[in-house]
Amino acid sequence: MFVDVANLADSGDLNADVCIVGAGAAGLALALEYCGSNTSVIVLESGQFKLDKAAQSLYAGHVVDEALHSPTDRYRQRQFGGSTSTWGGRCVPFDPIDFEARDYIPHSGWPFGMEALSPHYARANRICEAGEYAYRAADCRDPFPEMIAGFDAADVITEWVERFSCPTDFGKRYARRLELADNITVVLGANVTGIMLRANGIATDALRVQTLEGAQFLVRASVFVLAAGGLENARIMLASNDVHEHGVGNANDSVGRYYMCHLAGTMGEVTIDSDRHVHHGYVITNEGIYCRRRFSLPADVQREHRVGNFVARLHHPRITDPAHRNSILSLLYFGRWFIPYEYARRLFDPAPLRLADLSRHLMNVLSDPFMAVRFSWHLARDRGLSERKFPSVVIPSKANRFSLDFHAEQVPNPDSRVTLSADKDRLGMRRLSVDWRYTDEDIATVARSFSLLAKNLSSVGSLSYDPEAVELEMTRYGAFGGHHIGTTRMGSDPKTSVVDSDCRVHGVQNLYVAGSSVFPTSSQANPTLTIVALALRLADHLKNRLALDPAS
Amino acid sequence: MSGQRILVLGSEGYVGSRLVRRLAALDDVSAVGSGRSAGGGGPGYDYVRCDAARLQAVEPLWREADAVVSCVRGSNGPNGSIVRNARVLAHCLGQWPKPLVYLSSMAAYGDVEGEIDEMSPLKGDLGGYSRAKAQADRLLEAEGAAVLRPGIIYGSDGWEWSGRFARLLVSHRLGDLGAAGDGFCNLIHVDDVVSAVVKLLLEAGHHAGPYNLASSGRMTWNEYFVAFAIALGAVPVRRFGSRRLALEFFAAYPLKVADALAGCFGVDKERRLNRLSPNLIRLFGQRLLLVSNRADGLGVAWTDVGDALAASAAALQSGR
Repeated sequence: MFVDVANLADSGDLNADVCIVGAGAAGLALALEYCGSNTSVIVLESGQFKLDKAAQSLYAGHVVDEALHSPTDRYRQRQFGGSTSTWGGRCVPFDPIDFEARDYIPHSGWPFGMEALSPHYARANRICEAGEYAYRAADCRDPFPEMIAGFDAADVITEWVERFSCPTDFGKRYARRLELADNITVVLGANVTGIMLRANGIATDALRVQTLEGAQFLVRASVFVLAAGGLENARIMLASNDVHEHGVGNANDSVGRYYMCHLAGTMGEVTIDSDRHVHHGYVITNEGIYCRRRFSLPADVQREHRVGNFVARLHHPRITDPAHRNSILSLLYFGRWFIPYEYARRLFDPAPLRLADLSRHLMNVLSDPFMAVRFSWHLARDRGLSERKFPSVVIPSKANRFSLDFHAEQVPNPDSRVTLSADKDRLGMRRLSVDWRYTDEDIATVARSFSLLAKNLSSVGSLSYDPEAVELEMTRYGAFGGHHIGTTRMGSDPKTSVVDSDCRVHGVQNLYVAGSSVFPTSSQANPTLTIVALALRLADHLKNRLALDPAS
Repeated sequence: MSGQRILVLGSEGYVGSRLVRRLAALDDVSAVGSGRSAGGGGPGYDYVRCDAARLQAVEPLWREADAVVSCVRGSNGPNGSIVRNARVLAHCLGQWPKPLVYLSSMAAYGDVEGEIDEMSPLKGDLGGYSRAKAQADRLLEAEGAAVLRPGIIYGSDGWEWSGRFARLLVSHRLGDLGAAGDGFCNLIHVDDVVSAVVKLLLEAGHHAGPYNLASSGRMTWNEYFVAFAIALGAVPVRRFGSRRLALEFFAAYPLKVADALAGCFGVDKERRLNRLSPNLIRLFGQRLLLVSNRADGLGVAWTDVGDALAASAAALQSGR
């Protein structure tokens, strides 16, 4: 059921078996696991069903280098459903190698392997509405068109696919299930401003909750789960310093460190032999799910070349550069003001706007208006009006000429971190300061992967790129927005991690963290599917814990 | 029990016809079918024309039988044939007690959600059919009948919950409905309904009281539609949103009129334009989970939904 925080504020403190902070991908996946059970659950959500500017403004913070990282109130939605209300829907599981401790990736290694998460991925796929759990092309559709006819390389494979959710807004999709569940109370407008530990510091007593109107109350539970997002989890823990001076779970100064996004960008020019058929677009499975092949590096190749995980897709040329002479891309360039910030970022070049470029874009549109109209119709029908949306812009190339859109693992780096700034929000909570950094290892991952791609694509065409420009292209639009990873990382050693393999905060008996903030490494994969899978795994753990020890 | 004479009221219907054939195939049973039309019999069993809502018609058949099963569908309303049939059966049961299995519907529970077992109250607040079934159930439970409340009865030659959906899926007017299809579909295969009745009458001994019947667990309508569409080859399955369902909602009434007119002109229901009625759209979202604990105890090996959908699809395709 849903309750209005305004009614709750006068009724005193709240009690439940489980208290979940945040109603995004992690929080809602966790809550759904309790629907209809005997466990009482409170979900505290700061926002409302629709985006509320006042609540969203609580996300505002400081970014050390604005060229490298988006503002802290972007790519995060403080509302019921969280950032699933704006996500792109790409679903990809982690690869087994992502869980391994690799000597060439500092601070790598999860406390468990892929096998511990595999059973939960299938359920996560269903919750994300991405169909069955199948990520090998041959398992998705038979036959699944080859990306490049006859491409069979030693170091680069195209057999793995990414699947797409609708994309599903968890808030809209699952609100009714929660509304019907008598044992679950979702409190909207409830801002958690502090974790109150018991005096001995080893257990959580309550959460301090405030409303935007200034009312305060406490929430007590047997178990607390922070699922407020990759950045906000760290913020809440750092800001809770009643008992521990440096914040909850932060005895070893790990909270907020190891902050990762993904390394992403568009680079190079791929030309495939004209006699080879290229299929770089989407395939629809029987269930109606969009899937797409991409280039990936097998685990042994990653180990041999000592690179992080990496994928790339055949892509259209950079939109902002009118030299592409493509009417669709220039149309998108003109339409960029109508595209949400999160998806229009690559349509705004840091370089100043030049009249000559505008004219060339206009000429591009006028050179093939029919193609532009056809594309507009496709966009309106298959994306605007469709419930399951066409995932992205795919531009055919008669000349078999493309760029490469890459998405790569960033190494965990303790100096890349989020901290609390001196500024406070309207609730008196210190705002975040983000200092995202990349390293030489990150540049090497992209550079070596491109080198491998160039070598392997030579059998079917060519890849040309400027090796000196890797760093520039990798950071052209800054850190990949929306993937906030590692700030409360998981590990066996409390000195270098924040939560244990069960996602429980080291040294605090009843405080757990859910979401991408616990990922020790970032993989090549977009995080949402793994966030949901980990939340489901946590749900199983908590069910067992509460069953074994109801008094806890 | 052996060598018994079992009367099946409503033996021309989807469940009744299968039941009377199953009973007729048993060695120690003498099956008697009955219905409102003439010549509704089949091999191995007798058939008597009878209006099951009239005491004078039912009474002689009842008295000759050792056990009775009512699969009568009937009409709604406080004096519709559903309630009148129940009154007749209750009267007979009071006068000449014998095992009675009454086929009701989960609609008797009404507009409820959550896990619903046989102890749940009968709200009967989903229109005339729901009210009539709830009223009939109360009446017959009080007299000691075994009352079966199946969920959605599906099977190869069932039109309402299989053939009709197959047509809608093949024409891509139905598919994954998102939140609107999040209700539990509570499927029960028609053969399993028949098996449950036979078990109640012949093997488990007659146990009075209500029995929910559903074997698909927490399967949702979305999952049912996607699985059935794939079995039918109606792929890729389409996703429908609230706009499309709103269109179907508003189109339902004109289509109902068109359907009635087509019926007047003798067009087969299989050939008419199907509609998604508001009640159907509401049902797709109803999170009612029918708990069949008592029926599970009967020992029926429930039909696997995947196998059954494949068989239904094959049958429908071969008849297309």
